[in-house]
Amino acid sequence: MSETKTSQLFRPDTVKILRTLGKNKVRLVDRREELRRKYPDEYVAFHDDNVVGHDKDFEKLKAALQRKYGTIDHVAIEFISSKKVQLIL
Amino acid sequence: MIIEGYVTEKGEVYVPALLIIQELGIADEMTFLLDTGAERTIISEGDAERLGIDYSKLKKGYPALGIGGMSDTYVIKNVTLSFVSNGWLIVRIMKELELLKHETDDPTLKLALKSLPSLLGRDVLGRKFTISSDGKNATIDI
Repeated sequence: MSETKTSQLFRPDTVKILRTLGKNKVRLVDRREELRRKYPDEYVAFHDDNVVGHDKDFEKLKAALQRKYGTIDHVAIEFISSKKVQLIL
Repeated sequence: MIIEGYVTEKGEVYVPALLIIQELGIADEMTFLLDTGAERTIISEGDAERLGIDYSKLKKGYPALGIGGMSDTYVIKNVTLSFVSNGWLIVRIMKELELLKHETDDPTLKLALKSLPSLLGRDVLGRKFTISSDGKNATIDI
């Protein structure tokens, strides 16, 4: 069905980017209620415990972040719904 | 084999991964919520939108049934997911990966659906796995 193997084909900073993205994501999730009050129904970009951008349009936000920071692979971006929902999985 | 994850204050485990879909020309970093109850790994609508995936190019899969109801799925083939493992990348080659697509006219629900996370399910975890957490960092031994 699927197989695994290790690889060194990726750029050397991919591990660093993924680790930073993971940390940014959980901090964004931890602050979701605060972000919901400030940026309802907007995409919020989060890095290093700070909101680094927000917009209702994802492509506009992405373009603005790329202009400002260049690569944004490590930035956590999430749509913050104004409606609070419980995630039951 | 260890996969690294990160833990929220509420105990959710998010796993960062590099997703590569060759047929769609996509290579992007994203995060998955670890869900041991999910039969399959699945990409949410919000993430599909952010990745720029065009559903019209994909074949429809079996409907997905969750606690919240049913939704359509679409199938992407030959996907690789790379996870961080002890400072390296572990690559999992998947013949198929599914994307969720809810059909609804409710504008509030449409917006809420954008915030759903993608899920890392048992097709990656397998039958034998151990999840350890120190409250900040998680390791998933698969």
